[in-house]
Order: sequence, then C-alpha cells, then structure tokens
Amino acid sequence: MTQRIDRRRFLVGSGGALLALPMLEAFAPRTAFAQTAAPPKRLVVVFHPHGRVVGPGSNENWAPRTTTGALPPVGTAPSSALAALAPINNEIVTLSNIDNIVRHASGDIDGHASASASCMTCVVPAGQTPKGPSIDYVAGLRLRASTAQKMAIVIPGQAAPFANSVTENNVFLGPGGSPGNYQNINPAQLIRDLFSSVVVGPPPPPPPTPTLRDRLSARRGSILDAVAKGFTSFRAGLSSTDQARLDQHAQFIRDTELRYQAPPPPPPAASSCAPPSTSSVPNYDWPSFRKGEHDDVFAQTQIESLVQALACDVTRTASLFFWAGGDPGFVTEFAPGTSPYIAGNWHASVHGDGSPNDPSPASLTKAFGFYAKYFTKLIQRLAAVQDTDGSRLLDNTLVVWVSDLGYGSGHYCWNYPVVLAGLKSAFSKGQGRHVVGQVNSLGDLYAQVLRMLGGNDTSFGSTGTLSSAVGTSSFNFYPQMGRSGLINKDTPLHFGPLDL
Amino acid sequence: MTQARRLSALEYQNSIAVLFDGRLTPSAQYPGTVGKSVTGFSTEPAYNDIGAGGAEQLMFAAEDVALQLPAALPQLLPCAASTSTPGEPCVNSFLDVYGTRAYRRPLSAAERAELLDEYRAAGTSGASFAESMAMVVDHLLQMPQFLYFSERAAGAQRTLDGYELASRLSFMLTGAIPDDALLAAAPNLTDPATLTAQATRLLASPRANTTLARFFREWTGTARLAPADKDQGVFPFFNAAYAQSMNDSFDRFVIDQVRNQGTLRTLLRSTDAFVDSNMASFFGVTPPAAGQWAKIALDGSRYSGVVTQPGMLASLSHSSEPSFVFRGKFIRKQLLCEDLGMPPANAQATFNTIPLPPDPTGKDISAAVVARAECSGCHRLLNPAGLAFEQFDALGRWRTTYPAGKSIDPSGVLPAVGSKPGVAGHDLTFNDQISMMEQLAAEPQVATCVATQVFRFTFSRMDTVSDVCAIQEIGDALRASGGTLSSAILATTGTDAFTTRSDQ
Repeated sequence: MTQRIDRRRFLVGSGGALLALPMLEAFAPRTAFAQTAAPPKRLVVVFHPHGRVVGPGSNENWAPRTTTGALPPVGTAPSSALAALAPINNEIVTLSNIDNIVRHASGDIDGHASASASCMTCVVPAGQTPKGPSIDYVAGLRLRASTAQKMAIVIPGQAAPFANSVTENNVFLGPGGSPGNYQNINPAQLIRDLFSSVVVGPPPPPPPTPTLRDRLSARRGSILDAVAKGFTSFRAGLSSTDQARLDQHAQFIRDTELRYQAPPPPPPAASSCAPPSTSSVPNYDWPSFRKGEHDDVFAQTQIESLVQALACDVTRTASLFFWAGGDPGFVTEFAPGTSPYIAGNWHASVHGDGSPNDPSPASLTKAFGFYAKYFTKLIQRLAAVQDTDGSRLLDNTLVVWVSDLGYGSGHYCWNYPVVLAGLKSAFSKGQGRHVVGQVNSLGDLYAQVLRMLGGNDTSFGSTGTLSSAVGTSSFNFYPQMGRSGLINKDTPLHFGPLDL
Repeated sequence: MTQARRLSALEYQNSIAVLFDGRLTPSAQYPGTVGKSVTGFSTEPAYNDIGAGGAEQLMFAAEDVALQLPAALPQLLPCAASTSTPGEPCVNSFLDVYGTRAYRRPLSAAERAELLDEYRAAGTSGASFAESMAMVVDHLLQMPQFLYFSERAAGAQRTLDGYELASRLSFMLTGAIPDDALLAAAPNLTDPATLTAQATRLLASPRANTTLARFFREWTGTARLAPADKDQGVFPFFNAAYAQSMNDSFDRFVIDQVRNQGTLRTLLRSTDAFVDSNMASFFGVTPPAAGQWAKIALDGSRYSGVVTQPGMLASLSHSSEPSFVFRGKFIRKQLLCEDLGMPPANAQATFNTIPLPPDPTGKDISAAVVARAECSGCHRLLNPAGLAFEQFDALGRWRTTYPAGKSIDPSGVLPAVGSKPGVAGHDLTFNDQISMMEQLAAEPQVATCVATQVFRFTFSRMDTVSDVCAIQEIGDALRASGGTLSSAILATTGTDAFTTRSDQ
C-alpha cells in the first residue's frame, strides 16, 4: 500500500560532497536520457557474492522454472533460494542463461577477481584489474539531473567492514575501472553524508481555503449523479410522454456528469522524501557488528537510507552491496546460536573446499535467503513510498539484482542469478515471469537496462568477440569456467535483446 | 392532456424571486428555448426541451443562485443566524419552507433525505453551514420537481389534487411557483369557491403583470423592441431608452385593459395609450412629469385598441418599412384564428422576381403579389387587413403619405371572414383601420379566437376537438354583456379542462 507522507523537506543548494571522480569524456553520455515532467527514472543495483552459492546440476536451488513462463502466484516460493521473494512474485522477472562472457578475455586465472572486475563493467579486464565503469555509473551519468546530485552511490548492505581487498572494491567502478562511490559503512555517517544537503524547510503553505465556488465545482459530479437519480425516481408517476421528456433530460445530465466526475486526488508536490534520522540508527561500534550479529537492523537501516536517497533526489542511481564475501555469519537466518557460518568462512563453505562449516546445499541455500529477504524488503519499501506524481517510487525505479558468479561453487561464469524488478512500464511482456531465453551476456543485460531507462544502446562494455576485444587471438582464456561448448576465442560478447 | 414541461426562462426568473423572497437574483445562464412554438406561447413543452448543453447550463444557473445564498441566509433562515451551530433542525426548517416552495408541495421523506444527504456531504468536506446550505440549494434547483411543471399521469379523467391545481393556477396567472398563501390554500383548492378566490387574488396581484404582458405579447407577436430592431438611419432617435418606453407603453396598455374592466371591444377599440416623456414626444402630446407615466386618450379617428399601440405596430414591421403582410397575418391568424398554413420556402425568392412600378404603394405591391397565382391564396386574405394600417410607419408613427409623396389609401375589403369548409364567410368593407376594427370587434369569431388563445396560453398546447367546451365557456365570458377580459381569464380556471386531467 502506498504510504502518503506530506512533503516537509526539500533539497536546497548543491550541498554534500560530490563524487570525486573525473568525468571522462569517453564515458559521458552522448545524449542524456530524455527528461520529462514525469518522475525521473532511477536505477538500483543489488549485488551479492558467489552467485547461486551452490554448484550447477543437481544442486540447482535458484531458478524458478526450466522454461520461460509465469512465476507462481504471490505468496508461493518461486524456488528454495528465492523463497523470500514469494510476496513480490508479481513485481519481478527472474532470468536464466545470462553469462559473463567478457571475463574469459581477462587472462586471469581461475578465481574471483576477474569475475568481479567484469561482472558489472563488461569491459575486458587487465588480469584482475578492472578497466571500465560499472553499469550503475554509466546509467548514473545519464540519469542525474545535475552535478548537485550524488553519482552512483554504493551502500553496504551488511555490517562487516571492507577489507580493502581487490575483490571487495572492484565490483562498482568508475571511469577506467576506478573505485566506485562506496559510502561509509557506518550507517549514521551514511545518513549524514547522504542527507546533509536535504534540509527541513518551512512547511508548505496550507492549501488555500476553498471558496464556495470551489466547493460547488468539486461537487458537480456528485450532484449531477444525484439529480440524474432524482429524475429516475421522479418519472415513475408520469405519463409515457412525460417520461420520455425527462429521460432525455436525464441522459443529458449523465453526459454532462462524465465531464465532471471527481478527478483523482492531486499528486503530492514532490515525492515522499523523509530522510532517516541518525538517532534511529544503532551506533556502529566495531567489532560488535562482525559476523552479521546485527545484519538485520543494519540492512534495514541501509535500505531505508537508499530508498530515501532516491525519494529525496539525492541521487538517481544507488546500489546495495552485499559483500562480506569471507565471513558473514548469516546468524539471522538460523535459530539463535545455530548458524553454521558464525565461526568459520562462508567463502570456503560455498566452494566446499574443506571448510569446517556446513557446505550442504540446504544450509547454503538457507543462508542465501538473507539476500532474498532484504531484496524483498527493498522492493516493498520502494513500493510503499510515493513518487512525485503519486505513483510508487518502485514504478519509476529499475532494480537489477546480480552477482559476481553464476555458480559460486566453482567460480563459474555462466547462468548468473539475475532478478529484475520495478519500472513496470519498461517490461513489454509484464512482470511475474521467469525467462529462459537464448544465451545472453551480461553486456546484453546491461544494454537492455540502459534501453529500459530510455537509452538506445545495443551493447554495453567491450564489443565484438573475445579475441577482437582483446585485440589479439593469442591470449589465455578459461573456457572451463563458462558454459560447456560456448566459450572459444570467437565467442561474441553480445547475443541480442533479452525476452523482456 | 397537459404535458410535463421545463419552466420557461421567464417562469424560472419569476420562480426564483418567489422562492427566495426576491433576495437572490436569477441566473442569466438558465437555458433558453429551442425550435419554434406552435401556439406562439413560450411555455410549450417541446419549445423548452433542453439541448445537449442544457444540463450544464442548468448546473451553472443553479450555482449562480447558490453562490448568493450565504449572504442572504440570515434573512432567509433565521435559525442560521440565531445559533453558531444551526445543524440539521435548521436544515429541516429550510426544507419546510424553501423545499416546499420549490417542489410546490411538501417534500416526501425520500426527497427530504436526499437533500439532507447533500448537506451532510458538504459538511464532511469541511464546508460551513452556509456553504452547505448553498450546496443544498444547488442540488434543489437542478431537480425535476423544481425545473418541471408536471402532474401525475391520470389514465382516465381525474380531478387534480389541490397542489396540482395550485401549480396550474400559479403558473397560469403569475408565471411562477405558488406563493405561500396559495400553498396554504392548496389542500382546499378542489373547492371551486376557494379556487376562484385564489385565482382572483393572484390575478389582482402585481405578480400577474408579467404574465398578462406575456400573454398579449406572445398572442399579438409583439416583441420587446431594441434599437437594433430598427434602421438607425431612418429612426436615429430610437435608442434603448426610447425602445424601453415603447415596450412599457404596450405592457401598461394591455395590463390596464385587464385590470380596469376592459372588454374585448375596448381591447380592440380603445383610444387609450400610456406615455412617458419619450412616448409623449412620439404622440406629440404634453409629457407627464419626469419619470412618470400618464394615461391619455388618442385621436379616435386614427387609433383603435391594441393593434395601433406603437409597440405592436413597430413589431409587425420591417426595420425601416411597415409590413402589411405581418399586420394582416395578425388579423387573420391571431384575431380570427384562421389557419393559413406556412408560406412556401421560396416565397421571398418569388417576390423578388415580381416587377413593381416606381415608388410602389402598399396596394401596388399587394396587387402585384396577389396577381401571382401561387401567392394569391393567402395574400388576398392577408393583405387587405394589413393595408388598413398603412398609415402607420415602421415605428407606429402616423402618416398620410408614403416617403415618395404618394397618398395612402387605407380602405379595402376583408374577404371571406368566418369562412371554413362548407361556409363561404362574408366580406367586411372598410374605409380605414378604424372601421375595420369596429366590425371585427363585433365578429363572433373574434371572441372565439381570443378564447382559444387564452386556452392555448393556459395549457401550453394547441386545442383539440375535445377542448371545444372549455373554449366555449371562455368565449361566453367574453361575449357576455359587460364580459371583461379578466372574467374570461377567471372563467378558464373553472373549466373541467383546468380542474381535471386525462391521459386517454
């Protein structure tokens, strides 16, 4: 249900520090997305590590279907890993057969780094080093209204601190693969950073007291309706000739009434911008947040900050970054004190490489439920906030949930778990679907994302084939990380539009 | 059968005045008429049907009146001023008075509930009491009970109930909804004596004036003149004030005829006229005091009753020339009630092809027209009557010659008076309009025709064979020795046609 909040705050000035990234001409949009009086379009990227967290084949836990078709009704789990998405089945589209093709041109050895460096950029990395901007940055340049708005902010979704490792910082990227606009992990500081430019202004002037003429005008439709009904009851005792005369009059009233039916309630002057208060956020006090002990309250707070950053137009591109790839405990997904990952290494468990923690698909899937749960909360929160025209913020916000790998068990770069939501009008075939199309690349996906946001892109990142993208046919590549039989030096980086 | 009909614009104006004690101004947005009235009277049902935009105009008109209510509410509804929270008891008081007036009878429980709902809905939206009452008025004035004169279907003949009789009486005599006295008497109006007493009271009231004027204007085809109706090159003095004086002079004459024991003969033969400074100038007589009116006697060798009132003569004229056709048509169709049919569509085009002598007189033109076989059927009947008034120009001023200097001959023969299938009728030979009107005033057919016009006016429809008795009764009142116009009007209210209804 849409939440109505009177707008009592508004943006003033440029405020706040802007992204300290050079704006390279090469990545600036040739033309910005068309701006209209309608609410602006926005992009949210949700990222989690390790793909489907299980291996391909018998351990499949993610895909809702094996063929293209409708997702189950709202309330029914689409799959074991996505069980938490059951309340929003009608708001999402799940995708199979999305591969990271360009990663095979990295020359990197088997691992996470090149996957991370390419899964959001689709630009051929230099080994483990990313060389291009990620999709959120490219879209963000086009979506923002002015330089006063923050660019492509990346908000941590879990409390574990970044370790400044390559793999943890090379997912969201700026021009040339420079670090993305990662936000402070302290949620209170995040609120200060994001909303310092949003000030509480004077309350909007109360609506003018309606005049009697206003009131009469507002009642026209209702009175005409009552009068028409009055004609119906009045005619009963009259002759047939008189009835015909009054019937004609009543019809004219009905015709007139159509022009005076009550208009829909006027849209609010602006979206329901309500910056979170720092007083509502628990003090971030390392190390008590380690191992996910407070992920519930943390993720909830971060989602609210993200949503309000969009509602308040602080930014039009924001990402929710679930990383903590090494040691999240997922304590919230298990009974108190029973999480098998509280004391060990989640990364190792996903790989099943001898970790003392539970590597069973069931437990891995259960832990994965954390991401699904907060993805759902994000969607629900976007749906609950009103946009500038009275529509849902979600209706104007495209949400893309991706990962670094397809199957985390073996660094596999095929069959990525992708979920799309929001911006319903951009889905020509509707939502509530699972799509199993031809093999598509992440480049195809992001080009389509840009088109859904108003662009006319046919590709994203590097183009051509693996060898042409590298510029030589003599390079190392790792077909075993990709879909069987697909990867060779002539494999194209784009395959065409998705069936959306 | 009397059909349901929307109140005419004049009836609406009069009714708003009665409904709100003259404290609220009727809206100018109330829809006018469509098409053409068959009887010539403006209350015909079909003539007042609304068009596609009519419902919206009615809505705007109701709002115009409703907007005025809050300022007048303390006077209209004392309970609204006597307490800070008047509430629904005060609303019910309003409906007791103004709802009953508007619907011309006590409201049913459902009708009252509907208007109370409007009040409550307004209150829910934050409207004040006065604003809420304005919305009730807005609603009330769009309801069919107010907008339509209507009666319950009768099937076989039935006597109307008292409230139905009150409406008939009030609209006939005052062109408005019943006043409080009539509504109070309504339960007893089926008693003939009570009905007559109320009819007499209403006819004597000033509110009957507009209705009387309307009857005579619509019967005689006398429009309310405006400067644009006349060629300002020919009549440069005919400004708005002058036109208004001429209009008022006509109204005063006909109202005086009814109020002061006028008869059919005096209506057609009186030399009375009413003058203010403009009309005194018109007639060349001494003007009354500024802003005053005086009743004068005109030259009996020139003037004869309503037909020679300047307002009527000017209306039955073109903008610069008089029309013997218009004037003759009044005599044959409206005073003798002869059915001449409609002129053919090409009548004017045909006339334009008829060769005329230089500076033709009226008789020259008439002779040329009547010489055409396709024209003579009607014009041999119309033209002589109109030519009798050729000594009055397009503004009704006396003259003896045409502009080119030729003298005017008003004599003639009015042929086939009283003719009908199987009856040849007779000719009336006259020297001028005076002798013609003298003979017509004595024609039995004229009395019957005027009675027929009263009938059509009262019932807003053409008469049928079943109405012969009612018309006979009205005509008898006119023909009776000393039979006055007012007695004929009152006689109408005593006919079965007036007190009963049949839909068979």
